[in-house]
Amino acid sequence: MAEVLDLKLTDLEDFACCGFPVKSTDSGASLVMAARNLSIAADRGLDICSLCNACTSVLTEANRELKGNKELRDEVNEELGKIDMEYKPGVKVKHFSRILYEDIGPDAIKERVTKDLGDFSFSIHYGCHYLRPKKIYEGFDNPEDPRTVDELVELTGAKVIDYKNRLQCCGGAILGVEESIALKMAKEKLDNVTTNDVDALITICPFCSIMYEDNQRKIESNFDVEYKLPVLYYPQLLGLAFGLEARKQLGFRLNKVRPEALLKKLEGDE
Amino acid sequence: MTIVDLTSMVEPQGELQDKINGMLDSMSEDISNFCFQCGKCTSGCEAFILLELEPHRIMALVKNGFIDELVNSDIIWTCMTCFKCKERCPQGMAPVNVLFALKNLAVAMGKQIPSGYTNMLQNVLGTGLIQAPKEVLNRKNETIDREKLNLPPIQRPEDPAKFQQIIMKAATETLR
Ligand code: SF4
Ligand code: SF4
Ligand code: SF4
Ligand code: SF4
Repeated sequence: MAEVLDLKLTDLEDFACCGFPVKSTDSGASLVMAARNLSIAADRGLDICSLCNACTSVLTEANRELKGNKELRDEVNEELGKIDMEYKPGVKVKHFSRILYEDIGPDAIKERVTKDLGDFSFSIHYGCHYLRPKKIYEGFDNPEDPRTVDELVELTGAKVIDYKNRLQCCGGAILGVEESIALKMAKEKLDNVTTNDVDALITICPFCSIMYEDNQRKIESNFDVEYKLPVLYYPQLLGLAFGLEARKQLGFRLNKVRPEALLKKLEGDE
Repeated sequence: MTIVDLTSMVEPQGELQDKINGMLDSMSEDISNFCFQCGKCTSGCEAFILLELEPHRIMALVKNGFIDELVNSDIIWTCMTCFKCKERCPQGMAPVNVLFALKNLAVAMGKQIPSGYTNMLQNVLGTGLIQAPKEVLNRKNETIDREKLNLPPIQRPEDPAKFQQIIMKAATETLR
C-alpha cells in the first residue's frame, strides 16, 4: 500500500521492542531501549515510521527528552556505550497515519483513489497514545477532538460515524493485570460503535485491534452478546480505495473477525 | 545470561531507589505548590469508574508523604497510561508520571507486582520483543508461521546477550 504512494519502507535489522511495555516497571530501561532503537535508525540514516501508537509515543518522547537534556543523554549513552552504541539526535519518528496526513498529504492520496467507497460507513478508534502527551507531538491534531484520521477515512469516499465516548481507551494497558475489566472496557466501545450501522471499526494501532478484534469473540461469549464487527487497520481500508487486492495484498485473510460481508458488498459494487 | 540465571541473582537496588525517591520528592514539592485538588484529572480518568483509581487522591497522598502505602497498594497498577489526566490538568501536573514513578519504585524495592508486568519484562528481556512470533496449528493440523503466510521475518536484537546487558539492571530487580 505504501508503494502506491512511493513510500519506501525498510525493516530495521536488530530493532527491538520500543520500550513501552517496561516503562511501568523501569522507566530507565524503557528509555535505554528506545534510545537503542533510535541509534540503530540513525546509523542507517533512516527515519522511523511506527505502526503502533504506543511505540510512537515512547520513541517520540525519548527522542525529545534525549535531544533536550544533555545530562540524561550522557547517562543513557553510558549504558549504550557498553554495547558500542550511541544515541545521536536527528532521527524523526512519526506514526504511519501522521506521515500519510502530513508528509504525503490528503491531495496526493485522493489522486490515487480509484475506487469510491461512498456506500460504506465506518467508525474510528484513535487510541490514547496517538496524540497524547500532546507536548511531544508539536501540535499535530487535537487530542480532545481529533480529526486527522476522520479526514483520512473520508478520502476514500466513506462516511465516518461518530459515537458515544469515542475517545475511550481500549483498556489494553491492563489486559495483563485485570483482564475482566479490560474486556469490559472494550465491550463498552463495541456496544457504542454498533449502536450505529457501520461496516467496520477502523484502528491505527495493532494493540487497539487486539482489544477489539482478537478479543471480540471472547467478549461475545463472556457477556453473551454478538457483534461480528470487522476491525480494519487503516492502511487496509486505504488499500481498498487504491484498488488493491483485499486478500492477497491487504491481508484481509488474516483478520480475525471475518470481513466477508464487507468484501462482498465491495464486489457487488463493481 | 538467561532469564533463569537472572531470577537467582538479585540484589537490592538501593541506588535506583534513592534516585526514584529523589524524583518523588521533587514531584511532591510541585504538587504542594500547584495541585489545588480540583479533581479534573479524576473526572476523566479511564481507570476511575471500573477500578476506582482517583489520580487527585494519589497526588494528595504523595504530597502528604504516604509513599510507602502507595507502593504497597494495588491501585497504582490500574493506571491505563492514557495521559488524559496530564493533558487536562489546569495546573500542568501529570498524575500519570507520578504513577509511573510509584510503580518504578515498587519494582526497585522488590515489591510483589502484577504477574502481567513481570511476564512482559521477561519476554522483552529474553527475546527483545514483548512476545516472540507464534506458530499456530490450523484445522488441517499444519503448522502456520510467518513464512507460510508470506510475511517477512520479525526483526529482533541480533545479539540478545548484548541487549540484555543494557536493560539488565531493571530485570534483576523485578524478577525476584
Ligand atoms: S507494538 Fe507494542 S511491543 Fe511492539 S514495539 Fe510497539 S509498544 Fe512495543
Ligand atoms: S487505546 Fe489502548 S492500545 Fe490503543 S493506544 Fe490507547 S492504550 Fe494503547
Ligand atoms: S487536575 Fe491537576 S490540579 Fe486538579 S487535582 Fe488533578 S493534578 Fe491536581
Ligand atoms: S493516565 Fe492513568 S491516572 Fe491518568 S487519566 Fe489515564 S488512567 Fe487515569
